Amino acid sequence: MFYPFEGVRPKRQFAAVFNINRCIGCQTCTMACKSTWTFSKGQEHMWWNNVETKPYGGYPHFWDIAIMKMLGDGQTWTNGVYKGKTIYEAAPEGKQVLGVIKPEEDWRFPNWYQDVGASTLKDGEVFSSHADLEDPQAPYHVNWFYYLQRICNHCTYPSCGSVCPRKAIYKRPEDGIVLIDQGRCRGYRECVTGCPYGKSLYNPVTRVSEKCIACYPRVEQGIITRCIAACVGKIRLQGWIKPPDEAIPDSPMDYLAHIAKIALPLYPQYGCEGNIYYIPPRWVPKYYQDQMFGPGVDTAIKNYTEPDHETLGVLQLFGVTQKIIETFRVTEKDAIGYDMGGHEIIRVPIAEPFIIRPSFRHNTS
Amino acid sequence: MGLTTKTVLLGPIVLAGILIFSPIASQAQILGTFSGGDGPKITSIAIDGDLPIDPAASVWDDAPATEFKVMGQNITIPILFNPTVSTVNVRSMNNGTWIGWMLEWSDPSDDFMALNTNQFRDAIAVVFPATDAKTFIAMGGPGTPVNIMHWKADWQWDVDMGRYQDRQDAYPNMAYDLYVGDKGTKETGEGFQGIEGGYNDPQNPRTPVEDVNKMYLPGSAAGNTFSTRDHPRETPIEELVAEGFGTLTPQQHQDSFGKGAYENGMWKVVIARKMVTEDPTDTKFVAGKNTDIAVAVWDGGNREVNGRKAVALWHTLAIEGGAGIPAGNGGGTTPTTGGEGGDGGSSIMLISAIIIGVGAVVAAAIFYASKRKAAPTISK
Repeated sequence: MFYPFEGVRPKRQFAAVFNINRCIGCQTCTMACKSTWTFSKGQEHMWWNNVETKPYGGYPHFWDIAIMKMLGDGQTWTNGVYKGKTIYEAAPEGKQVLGVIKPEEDWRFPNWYQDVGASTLKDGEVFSSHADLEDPQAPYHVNWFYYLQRICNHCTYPSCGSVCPRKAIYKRPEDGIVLIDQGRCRGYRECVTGCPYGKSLYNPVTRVSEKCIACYPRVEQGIITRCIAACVGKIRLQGWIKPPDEAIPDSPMDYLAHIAKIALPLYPQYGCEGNIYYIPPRWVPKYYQDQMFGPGVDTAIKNYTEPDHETLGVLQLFGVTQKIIETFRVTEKDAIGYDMGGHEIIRVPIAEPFIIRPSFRHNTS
Repeated sequence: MGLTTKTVLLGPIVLAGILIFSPIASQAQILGTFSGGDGPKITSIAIDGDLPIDPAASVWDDAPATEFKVMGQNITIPILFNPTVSTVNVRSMNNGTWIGWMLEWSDPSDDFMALNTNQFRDAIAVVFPATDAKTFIAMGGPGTPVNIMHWKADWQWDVDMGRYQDRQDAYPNMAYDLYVGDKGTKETGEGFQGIEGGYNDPQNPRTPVEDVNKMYLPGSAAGNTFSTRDHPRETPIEELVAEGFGTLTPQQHQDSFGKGAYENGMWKVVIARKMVTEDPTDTKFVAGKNTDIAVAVWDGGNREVNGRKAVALWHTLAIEGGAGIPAGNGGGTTPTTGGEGGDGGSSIMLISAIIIGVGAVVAAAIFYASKRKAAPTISK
């Protein structure tokens, strides 16, 4: 893959795993972010965090479909190796990456087409949560939608940074967080065009661009981001990720993405190596998920629906502490999270204790 | 991507090749890619009296217009393939203390707002070598800075209206309950409902509203020239210095004034500055001494922004002295006396300057080549 700058990985890379299966689309994460960072004039249209309903929803509208259309045929994998072009190789002449300028109207809604499912209903049919009625063995639903939770991917190869002619976008070596230098930015909006995830936004009041900052003042203190902390569905887990060949077995991110292989990157064909990973939804047709999460969907769903004891343990660590879990250990009964100094910060039972109490009275009689 | 890379590399390499393997001096001058050449000449006439910054002032008719041909910038990414502007008429005059340029070009639309995500401003810039060293047309080079004066249509709007363009100018019927730190609404237009006087933190009632406001506007808090809202904008011109691609930086001292107006499909913009300022990174304009000038123009309606601009090559700017002002003593503060420097300088000066120039191009080529080399090949 071509990338215009030296490919230097940060000392540590901010990462998170979002479990799509557990999201209820309540947008608490969205509001947590909004009320922390983007409540000022000029930021009305900014949703650094948003939850959108797939397949039709998107913020900005059709952000992913537009790029995939332009990437065209050949977005395929052979033995886990991508054979198509990334947005860097597919860049038109005179530009650094393949991108589209999204018009103002496309930034209006954080969850346009909310709860609109794929496939149309015939007369008399109702949306069903049952599997395919014609083929009860089919692993997915005929009518389906799911929520996709999105923040900036804090990419290993950030295209926003590669397109900025001023080099006003930088990736912090200490934690891999990608930031726009508010002093150097001149509002060219190359990053707004060049981010395939649509997570760089223009502020018309300051006339420069802004983006998700991964709550870096919190991360610097070992605290998880606002969107992750606020999640009532406990679908999110934050940590640090390594490349697959350097995976640390007791790092929750490395474990979920590289060892248990249940967490997958978002649109890996873009070539940016995003660092937000997703546990794919069980009920959605594979043909749709393949294009979004790459070739690992089957394995991920299998390992998620039939988890081994350790995987089950790590899944208990989602949403249980405000601190960043650096490492974990799974015992017979508990999943334990540790901070950077190796101190225990959280201990969760893998199975709720099952207690049968003798009946002594009926509450309602 | 292959083609793009080639284009980027090709620019400087071809230039370097031409400069090295051809009868150097004449080619360099014809190309106009390095300052100090014998480019098309434009004269800054000497006038007696005030220099008007109003482009409609009749005095400007006295200054001869020189047509600058501009073409899409194609040396570095992003490239402009389809410029809408092809010529800019440039006039110049000076009164010994101030020097000004009047720029005229036709543009089908006046894009004076930058309020929507895909809305871009019209703009024009004049560029000069910041020092006596020969410098590359495209943003200068390391050690050979260029001095840029950049007029922006939206900044002109800010100046004309006495306030900053704001959300309600894009959405006149918008309403809101509360913005933290918003500074009242009396001047901000009809139909805009807000809390007059803004919001003071009840826990800290003495926090000045201005501070609260700035704190929640990241660009303003960082001191960005685009985002400043501390006081009404005084000038539509931003002064900058650059030493190569990606190094463009606003100057500490902002000394330029000007005015732009759109009429009958034409922009007319005046940019004026004291000939000699105290800013060490400012070009010094001295009567009797030639310098170089180039222009870049952006049509916002064509989504032209940053490197996507139409540019001219270096032209020679001859600065007349006269009308009681002794030549070479224009600003009164420069040690340079009339006659020194001359036009083009001695042959030794010329040769050394060309060597520096070729060095800059080769350096630029090597710089870009090394950038490319440094990029790793990563298989996904």
